[in-house]
Amino acid sequence: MIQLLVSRIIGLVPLLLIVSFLTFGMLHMVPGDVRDRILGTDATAEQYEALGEKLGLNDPIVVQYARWLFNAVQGDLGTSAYNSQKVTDAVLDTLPVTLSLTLGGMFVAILIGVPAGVYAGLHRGSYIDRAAVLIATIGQSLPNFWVAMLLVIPLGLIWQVVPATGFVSPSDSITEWIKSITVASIALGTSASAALARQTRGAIIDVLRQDYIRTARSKGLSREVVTFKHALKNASVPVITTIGFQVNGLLGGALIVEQIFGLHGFGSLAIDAVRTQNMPMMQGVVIMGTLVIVLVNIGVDIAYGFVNPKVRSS
Amino acid sequence: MNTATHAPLTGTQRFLRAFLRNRLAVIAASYLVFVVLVALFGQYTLVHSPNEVNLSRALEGPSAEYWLGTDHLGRSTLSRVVAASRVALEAASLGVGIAILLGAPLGLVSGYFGGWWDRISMRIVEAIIALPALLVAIAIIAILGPNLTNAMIALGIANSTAFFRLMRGAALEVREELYVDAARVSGAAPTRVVFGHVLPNVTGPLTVQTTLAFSFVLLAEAGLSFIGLGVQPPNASWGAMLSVAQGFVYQHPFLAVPPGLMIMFSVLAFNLLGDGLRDAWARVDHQGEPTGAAKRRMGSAQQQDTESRAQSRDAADNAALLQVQNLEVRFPAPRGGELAVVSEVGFSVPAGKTVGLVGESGCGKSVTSMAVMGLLAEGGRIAAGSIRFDGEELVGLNETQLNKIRGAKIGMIFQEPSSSLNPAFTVQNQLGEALRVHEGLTNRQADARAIELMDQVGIPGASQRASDYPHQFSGGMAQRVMIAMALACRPKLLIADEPTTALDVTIQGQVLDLLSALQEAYDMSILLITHDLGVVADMCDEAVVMYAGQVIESGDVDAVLRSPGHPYTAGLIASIPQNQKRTGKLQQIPGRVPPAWDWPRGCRFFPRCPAASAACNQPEHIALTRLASGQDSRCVRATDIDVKTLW
Amino acid sequence: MVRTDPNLLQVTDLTVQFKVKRGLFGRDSYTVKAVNGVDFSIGAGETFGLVGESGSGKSTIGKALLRLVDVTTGNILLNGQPVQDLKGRMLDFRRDLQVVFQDPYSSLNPSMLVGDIVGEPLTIHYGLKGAERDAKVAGLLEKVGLASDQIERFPSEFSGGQRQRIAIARALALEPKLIVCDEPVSALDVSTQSQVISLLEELQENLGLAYLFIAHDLAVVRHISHRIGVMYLGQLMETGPAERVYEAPAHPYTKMLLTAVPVADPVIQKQRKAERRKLPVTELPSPTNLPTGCPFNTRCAHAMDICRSDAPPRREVAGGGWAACHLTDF
Repeated sequence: MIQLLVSRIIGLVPLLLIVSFLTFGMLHMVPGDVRDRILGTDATAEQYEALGEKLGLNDPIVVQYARWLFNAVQGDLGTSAYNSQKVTDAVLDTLPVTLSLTLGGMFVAILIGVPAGVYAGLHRGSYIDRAAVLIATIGQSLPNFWVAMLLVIPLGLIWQVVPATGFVSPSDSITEWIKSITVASIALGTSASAALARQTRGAIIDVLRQDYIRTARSKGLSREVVTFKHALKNASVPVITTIGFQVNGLLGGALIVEQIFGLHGFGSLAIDAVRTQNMPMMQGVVIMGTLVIVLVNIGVDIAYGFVNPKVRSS
Repeated sequence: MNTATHAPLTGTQRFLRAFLRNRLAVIAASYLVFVVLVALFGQYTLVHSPNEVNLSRALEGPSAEYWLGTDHLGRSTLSRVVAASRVALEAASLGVGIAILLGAPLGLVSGYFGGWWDRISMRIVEAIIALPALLVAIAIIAILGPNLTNAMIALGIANSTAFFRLMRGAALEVREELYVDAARVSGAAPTRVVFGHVLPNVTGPLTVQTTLAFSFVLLAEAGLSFIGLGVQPPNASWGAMLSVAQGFVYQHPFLAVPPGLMIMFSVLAFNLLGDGLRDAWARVDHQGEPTGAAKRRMGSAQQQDTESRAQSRDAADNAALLQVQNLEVRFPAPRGGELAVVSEVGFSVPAGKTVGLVGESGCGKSVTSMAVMGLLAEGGRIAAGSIRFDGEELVGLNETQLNKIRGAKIGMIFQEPSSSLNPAFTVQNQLGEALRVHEGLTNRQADARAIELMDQVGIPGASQRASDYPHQFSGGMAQRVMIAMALACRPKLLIADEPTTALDVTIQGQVLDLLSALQEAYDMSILLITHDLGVVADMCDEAVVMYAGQVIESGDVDAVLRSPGHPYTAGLIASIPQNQKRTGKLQQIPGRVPPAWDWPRGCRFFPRCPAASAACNQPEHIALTRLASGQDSRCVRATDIDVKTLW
Repeated sequence: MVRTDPNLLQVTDLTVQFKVKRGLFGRDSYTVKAVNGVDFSIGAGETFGLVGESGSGKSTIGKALLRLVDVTTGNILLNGQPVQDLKGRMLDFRRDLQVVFQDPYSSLNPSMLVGDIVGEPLTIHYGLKGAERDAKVAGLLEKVGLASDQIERFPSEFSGGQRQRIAIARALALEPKLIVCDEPVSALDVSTQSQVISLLEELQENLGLAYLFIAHDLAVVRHISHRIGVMYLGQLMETGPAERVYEAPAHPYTKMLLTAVPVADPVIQKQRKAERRKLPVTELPSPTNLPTGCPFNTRCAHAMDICRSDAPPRREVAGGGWAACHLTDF
């Protein structure tokens, strides 16, 4: 188990190197020069040269990357192209919002999707099952930002049970933090829970067909024991895999949904960076986004190891 | 041999048939055709142009002039929705097209050829999957400028990994199929193998993935346009329209409805279409339906069964531990109705004895054993007959009552020991379950008993191995665990369904010996289900031979195997190659076992029998007759021919 | 029966190893010796039976002959030509050596019509198409006992035994000299099994085919084979004429296999069972950790010290063939 964890974390290093080099290279292929935008059109050649020197733009790209990497491993992702703001600070400031929404959406997805899928799978062919499948198919088709808009009208604006906008850090107040991300998490979790419900249903149906379920029944175990002991643990293997795949989509959804609630997360940072061509910032966001996805996935892998003895023992 | 006369449907025809039966999928497909038509030609039917500003009519609700109302600039929402559908479809086609063209061929090649190329590709794909897709799309937009085409290129690349993985997985799977090896042996070059053999077998999953990719890209395009990085104003897009609507969500919430519904319905249609295609492919892969003529025959066969049931004879043997009489099991037929797969089955298992239930695949021997356990597969039911066990009638018992017998008084072991054990729990845990449920043992007591049991069935180092998982055991050892588990509560009857078929021959002997030893020690009865007459001779006191859902011969094992009373039994014995040297032709039963919907009337073995006469298919029903040698035979000619010399 | 070429196929010192990569950076990699120094030959029109339990390497030998797996060391000569080095002669080689696999469900492409399956080799090798090809396919189907009008059917419309006939028709299409039959009947029911074996025997008689017949079922092998090789953990333990191996097995493993197969006569079998129950319980060693000396020493009732240290010599057996055992009498 620990070996699995260690090997996953070691595996992160080459992955992050590839990702950072790709984004670094890509973002430095931008047509035009950052200096034009900073200095304007009537700058002198000296000013131009001096700024280039200051930003390190005169070195070959590999040298620039090595310099960036050297700083990055020490926690310095560079400086914004416009002001003296550190990219690391900007990214870390916005990380709680994005992380809260991603995990909140995941929480809602599991809370709704897994029980619904288990129930439907156990009652395959029943009316409730068919209804659940149809609802899940519709749920999967809803754009989450639209759901967010539709939810924010009654919950945030009319009844005002939760704040319509703004983020409260969990270090300030746990209850206010939960309130501030509830609607957004529900909006995010809707389509993810639908996908998860369908996967769970399929996994349950598949597991119930296995030989070992027949064995369990031949031992005279009650339906409850057969279902909740023998079927569920095995069905959770593909379900956990699905959750891992959903992290990426949830993070993407969070970028968009935060706009509706006026939350300042990676989305705002990235949109700002696009509008102002702030490449160091853009790069910082991409790297941190990758890190979030990978770290959440390692958590998923650990959960996977708990339910799958083959992973644990090899 | 193959009697069907009508022209067979091609794969495509069967696929279309299956697809058209799914109403939701057909509706979804029609809706998508409609959206495509609207996207192509809708603009010519519009009264207002999508960008026609009329500030005096801003933020109106639906009216005769503006069917879907107007936005903050007084532009017609209907016109904008129509214009946006074109944008959406163009964008989605571009994104999906890139994803397929990039991902599918690379995945196919990578999966089929493997090697270093595959390893490098997989590393790259893993890296792309770990990248936050939407953030990368935003980054690409940052480089190339806010523009829908650029966004779609980014999404296409991100989504190509799904196609890569799908095609790679499919190719890996198909590569293991023997027909690919056979094609290589035929001299087929790699390109022929990939395009002629691998590709046609992955088109199903590929089309399904394509529809899913469409819904993914549609949603992503809407999202990007919503945050202002996709379609730029004043051009219309469903996402951009929602962005405008967000500004007026309190004043005029209706503005958010038409574009939102358009996104939802389009994505939903793609999802439903994908589901429909998936189901249709699955149905094409799973064939073997009875023909019309066969179905008619099936109906009449069922009638015969019902009529004859009253006449069937089964000597009541009250001393028997298990007594099955007149058992009829029905399953849903492939195309509606029910099919009796087992009928008039009767036999008994005396206390302490072993009875073999023998027959070829499809004869109903496993169904019979599952009926005794009350574990018929979904849809199956006992339509008639009685199963008495230890003085108690099992037919009609509910689940709770059956659970008191299963595992406690009747134990069961199966053909595939490795898949019959739950991979997620230790063997100790599984061994103790029945003891905890039936005998109320505590966890600690059950664990201790589990180790004792493992020791008794000859698993070396039982105390160390108890906490191992099933995948850590060899096939033979796993079957020993199964036996220990079935016998944990000292049942009076053990049902063993092909217990050694999956094992090597030397291991088979060991497992059979273990069963015999345990039988002597526990004084239990065994109902042994097998296709192997050698195993019957090895283990059994009595043999019950089944053919086409009926018992055709039963009696003392010496009588049945040494002087068979039914031509089928004699034929089976004669076909065993072991009884024949190289010289001389191998004896064979012509034809094949008919499927359940194609059973002949009268004697079901009649078309394959060398002794068949007009008398054989005359009576609707043939009863079992007691022969001089002591066994029962369901053959009208058993007394007037010498069965043993038939073959 | 024509037996012009006594050595149609010659296999010398054949070894096939697989590398299994496991763990981070392949730290836990290991090598499995699936086939280890095997020699045998097959003459024209002859059947050589290869018997063994799972993990004995018998199927790997078939795949190595067919060039579906790579040979690690050793030589395979077909018609005196090395099979490992076929530059430019690949298609000629394919014409001489064909295959029938175990699983008739997996060995026929479900999305192809029977005509295309059986006719594919004809298209590849002779460019036959359309009516010309169909006429040949119809002839082949008749040869294996199927109706010639079944060209436009899918494999799923046939039973297991019929599918195996289709597979045989495909193997016959190129008129090969040798067919590798890899457990061709073990997936079939008893009554169908004997039909397919009889068909194979008939075809051999009429066409002068040679077979490498691979099976775990000794009874089937005895019936169809002229000579037999018994495999255990990648090595040949004994070879010889079929009747001699059955009547007078010269290796303890062969004897163990023969006593293990239950016969369908209750009186005889109950005696055999009494014999068998005296034997100690043994398990197959792990293929990654093979015993030294004789591979069978962990399960052999007669094992001596020398069996655990030295590989046994191949000694001639009266009545033909040899056995690899330190003992001459047991």
